[in-house]
Formats: sequence, C-alpha cells, structure tokens
Amino acid sequence: MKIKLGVLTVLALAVWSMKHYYAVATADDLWWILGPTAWLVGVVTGTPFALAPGEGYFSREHLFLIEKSCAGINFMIAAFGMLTCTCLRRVDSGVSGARVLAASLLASYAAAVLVNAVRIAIAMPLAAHPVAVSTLTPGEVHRFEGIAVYFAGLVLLYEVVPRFDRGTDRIDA
Amino acid sequence: MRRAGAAEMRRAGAAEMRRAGAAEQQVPGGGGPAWPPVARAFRRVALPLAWYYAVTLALPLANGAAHAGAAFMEHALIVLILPPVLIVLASVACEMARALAGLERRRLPAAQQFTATSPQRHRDTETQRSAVAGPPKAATG
Repeated sequence: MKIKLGVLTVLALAVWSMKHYYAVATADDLWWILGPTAWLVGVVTGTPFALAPGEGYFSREHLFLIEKSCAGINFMIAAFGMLTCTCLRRVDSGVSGARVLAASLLASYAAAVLVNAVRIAIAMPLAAHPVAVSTLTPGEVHRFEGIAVYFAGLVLLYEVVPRFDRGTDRIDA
Repeated sequence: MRRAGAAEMRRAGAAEMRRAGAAEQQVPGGGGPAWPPVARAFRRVALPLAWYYAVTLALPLANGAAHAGAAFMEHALIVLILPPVLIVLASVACEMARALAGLERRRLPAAQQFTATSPQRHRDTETQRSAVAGPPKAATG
C-alpha cells in the first residue's frame, strides 16, 4: 500500500512538473514531441514539414504550422496518469513501481505522437476547405475536432492496454 | 475435485447470466430499459474521462486559468460537454448496431443459425450440461 501511495505521489509530482514545463517551454524546447509528430504527419499526408525556429514545424505547401499548442502535451499527461492508474495493481515493490511509471511514460509519449498526428492529419484538410456547420466557425470546428480525437484516443488507449497487460500475464505464467 | 465441480457450475451460471444479459440487450425496441447501456458506457470510460477533465480543466483552474475570463470559461464549457455527448452518441450507435445485428440473425433460417453457432458457444452449452448433470462420479468418489 505504501509503495502504491509512493507511486501515486511521484505521478502527481510528474504531472504537475510536466504541466509547468509545458507552460514555460518554447516551441524549440518541444522538439522531442513536435519533431516526430511533424514527421508522422508528413508521412501520412505526404506533406513535408520544415523546422521554423521559434515557431514549430511549417508546411509551405499547405501554409500549416504545427506550433507549441499543437504539441499534444496535455494528451500525453492525461495518458500517463491514466496508464499509471490502470497498471497500479502490478506494483508490489519499488522496482515494479518504477517500471510501471517508466512504461506508462513511454506508452503515453508514443500514443501522444500517434494521436496528435491523426488529429493534425484530419485538421489539415478541414483548414484548407473550411466546413460550414451551421453557426460554427472554422476555429470552433478545429477545437471540436481536437477534443473528439484526443478523448477518443484516450479511450482507445484505455481499451488497448488491458489486452497487452493480459499478454504479459500469460508470458509471466 | 468437488471444488473443481462447484467452480465449473459457477462458471456455467455466470456464462448463462452473460447470455441472458446479451439477449436482453439484443431485443430491438423493447424489453430492456434505455439507460443502462449509456450508464455502462460512462462507467467503462470513467478513468479516461476523469484524467481528461483533470488535465484540461482541473489543473488549469488550479493554476488560475479562471482569471483569464470568458475565453477560458467558453473553452471549459465545450471541454466539459463534448466528451459526455460523444459517449452517449457512441453508446447509442453501438446499441443500434447490436439491435440491427439481432434483427439480421432472426431473419436467418433456423438451420442456417444452427450451422452458424460458434464453437465457443457450443463449448459453453457443453459446460452447462455437465454442470446440470453434476460433477463426474469418479471425482466425488
């Protein structure tokens, strides 16, 4: 019980630190998540993105900028917390606690890059051909799309992880 | 061995309850109440929803985002409302698909339905039969 409480404390501190880091970081500081996301969006959409120092990654072809607010850090933090809580039952020692935290962090990073790339790949044609949905502005459509994709990604991740968990159970046995 | 027999009976009972529940859900336009599937969906995604709200609403509010005024409040309202709406829509879509699948199954002739029975379902039936018959005599002896 004490170890689990320790893991939850580390999780809370990590979440708070990540949120603070995101608040003060510049687009250049976020290269570790913006770079892979821009690359993946480029692969999916066939549009090359070039680094624009101080701004993020820019596509001249589509006049589309992947900036700091598009980094998906909030999704990564939510996924990290959710995955750690999901795998908390596996924690029975300090080592297993550290393993759960590390695995959750890695998985949340990978999921953030993937889900964010999907979100941007959907947002690009929407930005090029704004959809006129009743009274919604293109900005609101973009916001709705972001919330829907992020939340759906979180739920999908939550559904997928127990399958992997059962797989490792079988391997352990 | 008696314990094994009892466990088998419990499993068979649970399988029967699951099937009964599924049958209740598959009745299109009647039988089961309308809310339980939606409530189940909310229960199922409670953890992702809680973390989503925590990161997008609770943490910014704790950091004083409320001082940003109407802009944040408008954003917060959309963030608060949209996920539950999506859950309800997804749940309704799943229920409709399930009801349609149930209708489709009922249209099939009985003979086709028999051949379409999955091996898993067949195994469950066998388990039930053996549970009703009780544990093998050799086990209790």
